[in-house]
Amino acid sequence: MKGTLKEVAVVVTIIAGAVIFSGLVESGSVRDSIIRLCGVGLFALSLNLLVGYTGLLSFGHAMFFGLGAYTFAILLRTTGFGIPLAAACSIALSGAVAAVVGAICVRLTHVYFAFLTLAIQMLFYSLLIACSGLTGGEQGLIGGIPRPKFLGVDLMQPGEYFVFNIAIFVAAAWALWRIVRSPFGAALRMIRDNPQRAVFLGVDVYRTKLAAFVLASAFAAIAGMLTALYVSGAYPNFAFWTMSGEGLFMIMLGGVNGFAGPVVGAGLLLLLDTVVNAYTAHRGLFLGLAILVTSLGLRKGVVDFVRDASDGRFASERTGGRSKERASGAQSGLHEAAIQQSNTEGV
Amino acid sequence: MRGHLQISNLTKSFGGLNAIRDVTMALEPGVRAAVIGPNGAGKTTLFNMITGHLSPTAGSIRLDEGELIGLRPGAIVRRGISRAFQVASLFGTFTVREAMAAAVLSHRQRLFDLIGAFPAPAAFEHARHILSLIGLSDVEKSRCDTLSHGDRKLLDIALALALEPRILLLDEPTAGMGRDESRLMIDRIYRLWEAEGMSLVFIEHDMDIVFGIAEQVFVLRNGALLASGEPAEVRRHPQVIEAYLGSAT
Repeated sequence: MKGTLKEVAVVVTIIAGAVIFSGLVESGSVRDSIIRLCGVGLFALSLNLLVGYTGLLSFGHAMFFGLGAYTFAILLRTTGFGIPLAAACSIALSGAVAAVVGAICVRLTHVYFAFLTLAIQMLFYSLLIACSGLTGGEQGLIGGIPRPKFLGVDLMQPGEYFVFNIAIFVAAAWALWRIVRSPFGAALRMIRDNPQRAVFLGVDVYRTKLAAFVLASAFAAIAGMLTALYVSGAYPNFAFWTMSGEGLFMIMLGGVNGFAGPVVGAGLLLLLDTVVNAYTAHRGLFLGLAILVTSLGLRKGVVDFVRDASDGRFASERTGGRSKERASGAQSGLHEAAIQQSNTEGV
Repeated sequence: MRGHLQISNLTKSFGGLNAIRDVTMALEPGVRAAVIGPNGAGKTTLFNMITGHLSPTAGSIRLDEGELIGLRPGAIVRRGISRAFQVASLFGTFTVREAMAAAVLSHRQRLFDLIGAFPAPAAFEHARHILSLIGLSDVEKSRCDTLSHGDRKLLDIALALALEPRILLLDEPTAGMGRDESRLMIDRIYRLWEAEGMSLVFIEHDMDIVFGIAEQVFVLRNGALLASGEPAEVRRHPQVIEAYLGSAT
């Protein structure tokens, strides 16, 4: 109970901070960057529920990012729905589609799961292109998305729009935070660490994985909606496989072991993008270099690296063995998580 | 306390190989039974079938008149049969008490709670009780992947115990342990049995241990039941002496 109050206080403080910040900072580009981070950061967080917490390496997560964005945009453009109703419908539809896709995919593990999610995503992408009457085809939904007032909030006002993004992001992140710290979150980690043993302890591995898949997809849909509002449209590349790849890259860059790792990774990627795009057209080259540096140089995400390093210093100042213990657990990067899963599966 | 296990005419073939051949055995509730036999006799295969990990080619396994064959491992666990593994099978990133609390919550079917905090004090309490029973209280805050071999085996058993089983299957509880460590292990298992009163079925190689703790012994060879009965009886069985004990003693 005490913990919940503390969490609520943190959430309220962040939103209040956003209100003050939006009043003080006039620069549109800083605000824009933060708004963009809200969308992609939430996408990376939702993907990490699968990758980091459940050990399910999904390559098709962007499908739900795209589905949320398109549904939201189409509903706002073609129906008289307000933003809350359109959002609720988009989340519900994404969740329902995820339940069907997940029911097929989570029966598989490892690379088979990864490739099936990838295949279904590409199928969805093709549908987006093919149904041009509804989705605008290759061009996407251009021409803007209306932002009707709701509950006294006017998203046409830059300040209110900024605070709205922060509030949605923080609320969603908090929900995810609670989920990974709930008994359900423990079940996810049991499945990640040792699915075979989880079965013999009575955990319904299939249902639990499916629930995680649906939840992660619903949060990805929210991320998609924030992004659709930000770019005032929805485009096929939202649901292209490179978007899923970028999500994984953000997680790798930030680290899987801390809750905030993926958001930091998303921030770093956006920063990298901004810098690289300002100087060169060879974006891929520099992203590749960044991947090389983090996976070969740090061997873990930036957040994990910093945490281990500060733990190391802490330990040398005192004499505790705590840091060693933590470090041994925090090493598992994306690859090692996958290896660990494959090792434990053959009990 | 119920928990009558009846295995009838159980057979398991892998291709042309009969891993288990026409095995029939009965276990009374609360019994301490040992399954012995040379490597490849089918002991672990037998455990795998009882726990639903493998499905038999023929035969039946009944717990209090309810057929277990065809049930999934999770359903069999809920009927009251749980197991520990030959190689301790743990959750590396969990602390000992977290792993125990998770097992307790699983048993209470509370793992689908998305809102509550983990681990809740109620689950902790029961987890601690089992940990103190089995003698792991002093490492309850350690991570599973930092435990010693003996502690890993103990925690593996403790996890199975969290499910409050009527029948506990232990696959070589003393594997990889020295003499003293083995004795300590068996001591603790005996204490658990005294405290909880479940049936205990264990696979074991050390004959001193088997004849020291078991009330009933089943001898498997090449997948078939060679002999069964009280330890003294089995010890005198000519075929057992020839096949197994002869070389061991």
